[in-house]
Parts: sequence; C-alpha cells; structure tokens
Amino acid sequence: MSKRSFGTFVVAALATTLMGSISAQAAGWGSVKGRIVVDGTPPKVAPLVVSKDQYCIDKKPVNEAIVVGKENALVNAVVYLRVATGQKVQVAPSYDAQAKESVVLDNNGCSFHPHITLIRVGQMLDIKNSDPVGHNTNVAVFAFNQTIPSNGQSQIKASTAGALPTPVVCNIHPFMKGYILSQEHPYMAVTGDDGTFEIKDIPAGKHDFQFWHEAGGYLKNVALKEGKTDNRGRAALTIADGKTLDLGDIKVKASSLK
Amino acid sequence: MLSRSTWLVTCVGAIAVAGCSESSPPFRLNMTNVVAKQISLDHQQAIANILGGMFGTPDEPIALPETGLDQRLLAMAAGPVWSDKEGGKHGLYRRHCVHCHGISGDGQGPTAAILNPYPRDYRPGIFKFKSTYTSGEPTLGDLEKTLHDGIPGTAMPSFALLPPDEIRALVEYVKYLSVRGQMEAALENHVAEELDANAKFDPATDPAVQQLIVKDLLGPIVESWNGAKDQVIRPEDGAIPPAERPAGDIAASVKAGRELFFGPKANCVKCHGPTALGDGQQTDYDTWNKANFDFITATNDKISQIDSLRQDLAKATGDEAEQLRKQILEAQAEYGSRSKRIAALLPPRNAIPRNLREGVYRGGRRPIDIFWRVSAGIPGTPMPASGPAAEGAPGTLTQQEIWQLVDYVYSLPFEPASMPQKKPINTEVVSK
Repeated sequence: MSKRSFGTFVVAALATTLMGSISAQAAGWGSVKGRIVVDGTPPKVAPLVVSKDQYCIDKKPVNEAIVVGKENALVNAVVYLRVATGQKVQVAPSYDAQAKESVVLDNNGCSFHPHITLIRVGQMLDIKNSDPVGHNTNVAVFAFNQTIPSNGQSQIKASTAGALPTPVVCNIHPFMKGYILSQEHPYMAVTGDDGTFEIKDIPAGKHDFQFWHEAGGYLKNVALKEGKTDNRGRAALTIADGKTLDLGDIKVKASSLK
Repeated sequence: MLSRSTWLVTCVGAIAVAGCSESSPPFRLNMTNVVAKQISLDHQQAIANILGGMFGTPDEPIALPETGLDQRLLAMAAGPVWSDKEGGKHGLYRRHCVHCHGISGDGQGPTAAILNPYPRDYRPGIFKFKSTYTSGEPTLGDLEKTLHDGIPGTAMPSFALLPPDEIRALVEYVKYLSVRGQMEAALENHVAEELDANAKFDPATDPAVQQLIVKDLLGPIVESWNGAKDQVIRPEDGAIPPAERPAGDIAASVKAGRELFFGPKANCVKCHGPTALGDGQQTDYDTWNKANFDFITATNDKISQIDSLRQDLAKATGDEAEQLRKQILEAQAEYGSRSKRIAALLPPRNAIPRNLREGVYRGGRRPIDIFWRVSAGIPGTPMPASGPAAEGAPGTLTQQEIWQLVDYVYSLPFEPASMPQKKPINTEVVSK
C-alpha cells in the first residue's frame, strides 16, 4: 500500500511539472541592473580580533560585514531572483557554459575570496588555500567542513539550494567569515566596489527579486523606481524582452544595516 | 495505516503547539526557531496540525508510508511506561531516554541543565558518531552502536543489557524524532520565507500544499536517511594496518602521525593544542549551542537597531515618521518575545576540543572509530574532515596518513608530557 500511494503521488507530480514548464516558456530575455547606496552615515563595524598565526596578523584582514565604497556605494549586497519551492524558472542558453564551470572560493590572506560566493546547484565549488597556513572551510549549507592545507585544494558539488546566503567559516581562524548563496538558477548578483549589479538574460515576465545584505539581512522597505521592497526585502519586477530594467540608485537607510 | 487524505485532518482543532490528547505530554514546537522567524500564532497552529497529522503524538506515533518508518517499532518505543503480564516492556523511550532527551527529542529533558555536555537535540538530524561521510545521516547500525556502548566521557550510558529488539525500537524512535524535527524546521522555514502573514497553510483543503509538504519538504529528508547506507566510508584494504605489527612499524607510524598532528596539513594542533590536552581553540561552539548563542546575539543587536531607528525618527516628519514609529514598535515587540525565550534557553557552552591524553573516545575506541572521526570530522562540531567529503571527492589526507594519525592518537595517553614539542610550521599561537 505504501508503494502504491507513493507511486500515484509521483505521477501527479510529474504531470504538474510538465504543465509548469510549458507555461514557463520564455517570451524572450531581459536584464535588470542598478546601484545600491547607503543613505546616511554607515554604522562602523568592530575591528576583527586576529590573535592567531603571525601570518594572519601581518595580513591585517578586515571586517567585511559592512563595506562601503565611493559615493556611499554599498558593496556585497546580494540581489537574486526568488523562485518559490517546487517552482522552476527557465534558464537562458547563454548560461550553458557557466553551468559546467566550477566556482572558486579562495582562503587568501586569512580571509575568504570572494566574500560572498554565488553558485548554482550542480556546479562544483573549488576550495583553495593560497596561504602558508592551514585552514578549514566550513560550508554549513552543504554540510561540508574539511581541512584545506597550505596551497591545497578540495572540491564539492553544490548539492542543495538555500533560501538566503549562509555563512562560510574557518574554525581555526574564527575571525574569518564569508557567505555563500546556492540557487537552482544563475540569476543572482553581488554588488561590486561601486555598488552596481546586473543580472542578464532573465526570462521576460514578472519575477520576485530578493535584496539582502550581511549586516542588514532582508533589505526591507527600500524604495525602488516603482513601489518598494516588502518586509522580506523582496519586490516583484517586470522584465521585458530585449530590454534592461534600470533601477537606478537604490537607497538603503544606514539604520537598516545593524 | 493511514492514507494521505486522513493524516492531514487527524489533529485539526488541537491547541497550538500541543498534540491531540489533553492528558499525555505533547510534542512542542521549537520555540527558539518560531520566535526567531516571528511565526504567527495561526501559522504555529497550522504547523502543529500538519506535524500531528504526519507524525501523530508521543502516545500514538504515526509511521507515514513516505517516511519509511516502522510502525511496529515506533509503537514499542512510544507511549507511557508499563509492563504487560508476560513481562513485556512498553514505553521504552519514556523509560530510558526522556528524562535527558525530552518528549520532543529536543535534548531538553528535566536533567539536561545539569549535564555537560548537554543531551543531544535530535531535531536537526545531525549526529556526531557515525560511519558515513560528513554530510550523510548515520546508519541505523551507527545509532545502535551508540545505544549499545553509550558515549564514554558523557552522561550517556550503555544500554547493552537491553534485548536487541528493544535497542532497535529505540533507534527507530530516535530516527522518528529526527525526521519529525527536520520536517518541523522545513515547515517553519517555508512559512517564514514564502507565506504571507495571513496566508492559509492547510494541506487538507489544498492539494498543492499537500504535494509541497510531501514532495518538496519531506522528500529530501527521507532521501538523506535512506541513502545513509550508501554513504559509509570504507577503508581501503591495503591501507588498514594489521592488528599484529612489529613494534618498529608502529613506532614509525606514530612518528609520521605526530608530524601530521603538528603540521599545517592536518593542523590538529590548532584546536587540540600543542600538548593535545584540548587547550587550543576553546572559544568556538557546536551547531546546537551556536543556534542559542546566535539567537542571544541577534536579540542584543535589536537594542542598537531600536536606538538608530529612534535617531531616524527624531529627524523624520509626516509619513516617514509614522512608518518609523511602526517599525520601532515592531522591533520592541520582537525584542520582548526574544528576551522571554532567552530565559528558557540552556546557556550556550563552548565546544572544547577533546583532551587526547585521557584515552577516552566518545565515538568508540576501535581503530575504525578513530579513523571515521578523523576522516569525516565530527558533524555539528568545529572538527573538520581530513578525508574526502563524498565518494570520489579529494581528501586532504590519504587513508594511510589518517591511519598514521590513528596510531598517534592511540599513543598520546602514553607520550610523556615533557617530550619536546615539535616546533609547528606557521602554526604558532600568538597572544594579542
């Protein structure tokens, strides 16, 4: 009886998936871009306590919880397309090559590079250590925690998606902290040194986008060109075929970065 | 056996966070998670209803076909303690386990606060002592071994005097509490991340919700448990040191293991300390204590958040001021509910690396047990893996090197503490 009930269930699930993929046929592709800036004086972050390994102390790693660039640009904010559990989004062929590439996460100067890693489920994560000291890299979302020797390397397949970016830590050097975001699709971006981001070749239509920052969490009640993000830092944006939706400057209140 | 259409409605009407029965102890929701994610009372009720429908109550557990759990074994372990005329024992979990591990398997039974380490909270489905790769669930054999041998150096006793079928029933019940706890977390995450505050969450009236629960939320949990037997780390035949070895071979292996212990490749010295007394890195937390620590930290951060919102309010006018007032009230309410919750938490304790000179090995003292600890690390703790993360993945150490570390670990209780310590390469501990 148990076998049969599960079987029936699988058939039903397949039928829905097929219907889903037909209705999700993209009518072209478009992009979204913008620049995230801090409105007000950004809060100061506490300096890191680096008390272990002379090499790390000499490298003077900094607290990257809030990084602000020129003209109050908010660096390391994350913008990505949000797909509800059980739903799928069509991925443009232009991402085919990327799906086969691995993503590199380097332990360098006793800090994680990049600070925020973006990866698609199925991609390989190459974890490197360019330092002369040994590290361990603990990626909780993949239940991965391995020692990475000096000039050594390990590899793991991105096995699961997470709703939000989750921490990457080194237990040997507790001041080291990074984040990783794993999604079933490639539509995610981290703001650069100038606060800008761009996500290309999104299926035309209306999608939910998530705005997130390490110190601010959900970037909620942030005014966009039309409307604002909701209390989970999300906004529904309409992507048009062949067009780039330019959100311009997106101002995040300094008080929300605490 | 219950069909899917009935499991969804069996518990409707039960009060929030309680089971169906009024007289017997109920399963409780993970209130730390509920408060952290600000899940509304209606949604707490919905989650309790769904869990009640899928898993039943502590007196009447349900082995939902999709979970692969065994109804007969669960019935042996569940319910109140009593003995039948033939001397058959019933209510095994409450007879042997509940006083430490709690009715919900949350590790918060009445004795928990006076134990160190705290009893295991089964709900995240993470187990330290097992034969599988880091990310894998334990095999049933792994859990049976923990019950049979106990955990030396902790309050967890050996249950070797119980008949094998009773141990097997208890293992099934531990797995049941884990799967239930993992399902609860999945439901809470789903509600917090995807549902609007007033959205209904009722699988009895919405087939799409039912499918989501069984396929997308329960599916991966069950898959992980079912896959455990394929995740066992098997030592290569050639690499296993023979039981009987010439003393010279053992000494050479111990020497090589010592080099690894202090070297930057295995890096054991960093946490276990230069004398292996466990006095290296002592400020870290395991995943269970970290959850409480993070909850307390985030609660304290609310104070400065409220302060800076007030500063904004002083400068704001009109609609903006109105919105800020609303945000301040919300933040204050959240701070209040978090503070109440903190009062009920077991105070977070640091994860202290094992003192390897005591010769007490929590996960078992066979060479294979130490091999698995070094190869896969200890899940849920800061202890990293030195072997591969999965079949075919690159390991940091070879199996031969891991066996050398095993030999060195065995030798440590007998190594004179005055033996000159090796000067570590780039691993000096520097005080600030």
